[in-house]
Amino acid sequence: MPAIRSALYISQFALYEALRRGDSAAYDHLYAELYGPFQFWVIGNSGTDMDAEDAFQKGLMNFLLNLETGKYHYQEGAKVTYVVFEYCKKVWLTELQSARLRNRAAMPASLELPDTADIEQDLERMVLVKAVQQALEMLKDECRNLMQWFYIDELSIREIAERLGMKETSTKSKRYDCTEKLKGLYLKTAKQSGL
Amino acid sequence: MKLTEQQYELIEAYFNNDLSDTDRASFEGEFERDTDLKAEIQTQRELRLGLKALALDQRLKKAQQRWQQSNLSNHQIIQPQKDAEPTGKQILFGRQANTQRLGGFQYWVAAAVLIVVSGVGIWLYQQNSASATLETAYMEAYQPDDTQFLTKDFPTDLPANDRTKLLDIMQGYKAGNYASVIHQLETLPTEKQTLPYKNYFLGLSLLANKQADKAIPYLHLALTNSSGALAQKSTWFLALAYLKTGNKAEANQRLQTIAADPNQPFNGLARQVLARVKW
Repeated sequence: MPAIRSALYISQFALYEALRRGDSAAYDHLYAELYGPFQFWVIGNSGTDMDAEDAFQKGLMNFLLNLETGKYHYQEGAKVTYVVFEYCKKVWLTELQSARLRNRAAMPASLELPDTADIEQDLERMVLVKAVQQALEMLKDECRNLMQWFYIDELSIREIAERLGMKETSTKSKRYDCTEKLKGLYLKTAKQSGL
Repeated sequence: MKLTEQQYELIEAYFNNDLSDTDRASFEGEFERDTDLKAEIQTQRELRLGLKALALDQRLKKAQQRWQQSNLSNHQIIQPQKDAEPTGKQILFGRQANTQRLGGFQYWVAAAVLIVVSGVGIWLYQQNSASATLETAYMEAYQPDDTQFLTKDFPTDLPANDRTKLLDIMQGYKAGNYASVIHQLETLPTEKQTLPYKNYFLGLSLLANKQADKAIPYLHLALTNSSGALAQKSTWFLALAYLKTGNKAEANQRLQTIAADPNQPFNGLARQVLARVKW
């Protein structure tokens, strides 16, 4: 496989916009720029390679969801890579703190505690996401595929219609039916999860 | 609440920002008055957030795989541990990990590279703080159109044969073989329904191939004969092509149009470029 051609985002705003559009080159850029330093930081702070990988993925997810929902906006002069690094750090610090609480051990004084209000919101959001994922898995194949193709793989209705051998109007109606089914399953799952 | 199909489509359009300002205000007024509808909107919002998170997770996993494979096969700076085996440890969406560790010498090599890269970064940042030339502004703003989204611009009712040809050509674009892509597109039979897409793709490939002057007429044609996302992208890349060729007046005019349109996906970038260049 050829090396990732990490795009040179001279402007941080260009990187922000590329992430907002979901450009795969921007994702590659974050991995190329941040994963090594983050891994080094986690290992230096009581973690392992595996911890670094988990925290990096979760931190990126939190950042991208905040970008998606408008909770994070670019501010003039901000360094997006620095912001993302901080998101990942926050995840690891929270996990470290939880582990220390379980073991009744104090956090090292050199580590700053994360803001718990933000993290609680992110955790609650992840419970919601997990409930949607479970509901999706409970759908029958045809509906699950359709929902996966449209909302996750981001195929157009036309492409899905071709795959299903249906007309576009019928595919739209099918998407409506499947969303209603997903909703029913999600509401049950969410209730069980205490949402 | 059981939605009708019409209500569902309306909610979908609302979330996708496809409603006009009047329709949007009217719809928001409606669900502010109707508590059942308001609760339904919240549920639909949660569903879409969950699905969006799953989509992001999928993209992140792909990026992670690309990064790992690229590192392992090319740079070898980060090596897998000898005893590294995928474990059952799960993060939120369940994935298997391939553990990696930096060796002592490799760490210092990586650290040296980081220092050099940081130095270059600081220099670039300092360059960034002054107003930019057209060429610099172009370099800052230009990114190839992501092939993941190119298929969405395929013309409606595209015959299967043409679709296959375009997908083949797209593979070349994805691999950066722009000269070959340009040749294939130039010899592609011209049909009315594929013409705007063909022109757009030709303009895009010529721009990527550092032939901005040749890209301009094709992007003009694509813009004239298309609508929606394809027209929006054509305008953006046309503005970039003018930037690249040093045509300040034409670039400025197009960037102003994009910056004034809140529905333009390149709206923010256009404003950034306008602010960067001393017009």
